[in-house]
Amino acid sequence: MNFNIKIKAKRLWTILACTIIGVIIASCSFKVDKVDQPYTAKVGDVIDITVDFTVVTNENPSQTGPMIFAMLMPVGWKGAENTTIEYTSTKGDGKMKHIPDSEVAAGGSGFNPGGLNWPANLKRKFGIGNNFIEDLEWVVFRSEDVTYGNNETTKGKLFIKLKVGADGNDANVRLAYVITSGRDGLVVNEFGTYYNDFYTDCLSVTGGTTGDLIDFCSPQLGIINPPKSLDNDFTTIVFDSNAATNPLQGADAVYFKGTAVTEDGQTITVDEISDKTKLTETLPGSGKFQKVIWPRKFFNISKTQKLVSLSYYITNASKSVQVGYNNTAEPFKFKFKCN
Amino acid sequence: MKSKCKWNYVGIVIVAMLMMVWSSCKVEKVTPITEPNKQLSGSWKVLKATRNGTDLTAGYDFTKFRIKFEGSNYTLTDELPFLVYENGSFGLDDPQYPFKITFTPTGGSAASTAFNYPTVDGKRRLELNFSSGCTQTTYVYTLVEAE
Repeated sequence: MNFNIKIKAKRLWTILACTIIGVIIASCSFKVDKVDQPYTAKVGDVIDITVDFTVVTNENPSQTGPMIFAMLMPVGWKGAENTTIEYTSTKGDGKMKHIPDSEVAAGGSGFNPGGLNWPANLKRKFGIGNNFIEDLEWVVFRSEDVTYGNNETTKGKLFIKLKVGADGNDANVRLAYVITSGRDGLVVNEFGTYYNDFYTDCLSVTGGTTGDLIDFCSPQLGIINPPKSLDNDFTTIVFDSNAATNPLQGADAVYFKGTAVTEDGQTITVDEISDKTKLTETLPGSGKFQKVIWPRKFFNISKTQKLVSLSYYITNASKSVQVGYNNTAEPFKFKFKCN
Repeated sequence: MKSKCKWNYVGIVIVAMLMMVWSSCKVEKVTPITEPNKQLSGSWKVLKATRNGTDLTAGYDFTKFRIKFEGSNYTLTDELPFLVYENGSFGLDDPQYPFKITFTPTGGSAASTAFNYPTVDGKRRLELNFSSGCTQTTYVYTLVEAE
């Protein structure tokens, strides 16, 4: 009888121990606690951003690896060249290094299908955050190696210096941040979530030299993705019929009608109702339409010609209604350029 | 006599064991495996196309495009934004472990790009990375052999 009681007690302790360990393991996490950043800046300013973070680990045996920090920002800001990050933490201080695009992200086939690099895998997972124009990239950095042990909490702070507006354009953009494990990547499993994504409000950068404003923050009736492209790029003409009041709200089919200007001053107009000009609704009922074109072929220019600009309207099938910039009589306008 | 017979028996066993050891100790001859040259011959079509990671495949008609490798030459059918637009010759930096492919259109200048040659579901794929317009815009065409 006594023997039986001993076995039961032992089993009870085992179950209790397993439960406690299970609870501890399940609490593994990476978290951005707070971000301090300005929401206005001038083109060329170096802005200070601080990010407080907490990492809870339950590694037994302990594991060594870097922490990854990624920032979503306009491609034209050339973030890899124009960002420096230093950090302090309860595991030591140091500087972060930019991760080159040639490096495949951690995560294996389960959490990095296709073996993408870090920026591409972040874009697959988090897209362009809360922005509306594609021309954004995740710029990714790694800390020095840190040894994470069992039931440990690491707290730290990142001190980021970012030069904004390297392309000279005014911009409204919602920056976003991700921290994750350099060993594991963007993993969610029974032990926890090994990343945290953090989104901010709109940062307004003014005082640019080009006279152009790229408004990533606001839904717009008409945009072209990427906003910086040449006639030999694939460009996507996007029309969001619900972005503002306009007579094409509720339309089930919309078409492109536009004129391109070549470097030698020739104008070429495409004005027809056909598959060539029809935009496709991205999701039924979404009111968001798009069409991918290769401008050189679309406007049928010769091999020696180059397109410099484009002005266009979106029309209905009968061409009785046409919508332009901000629902005015002015057309949407686009310059073919890379900066 | 009895003792001699016993030794003979032991001797037979020893000889048998030695023979077994000898016969078991064959040196395995390992023939070095030669990585075959990568064969691109044939006609390839676009399976997938991305722009800075965004999938464009469903949004544009890629179905007519073909690039045919034959000997050291390539020919293009239909045009897409690409490295070259005229037929010509091509070369790999290393036929066994290629990392880069170079297209030289007839009468034009050479254009090189990194490429991968993975096998997926038993079929070879050809992945080409390039920029055709702005350098910050990168395309990846994943090609498969056209049936």
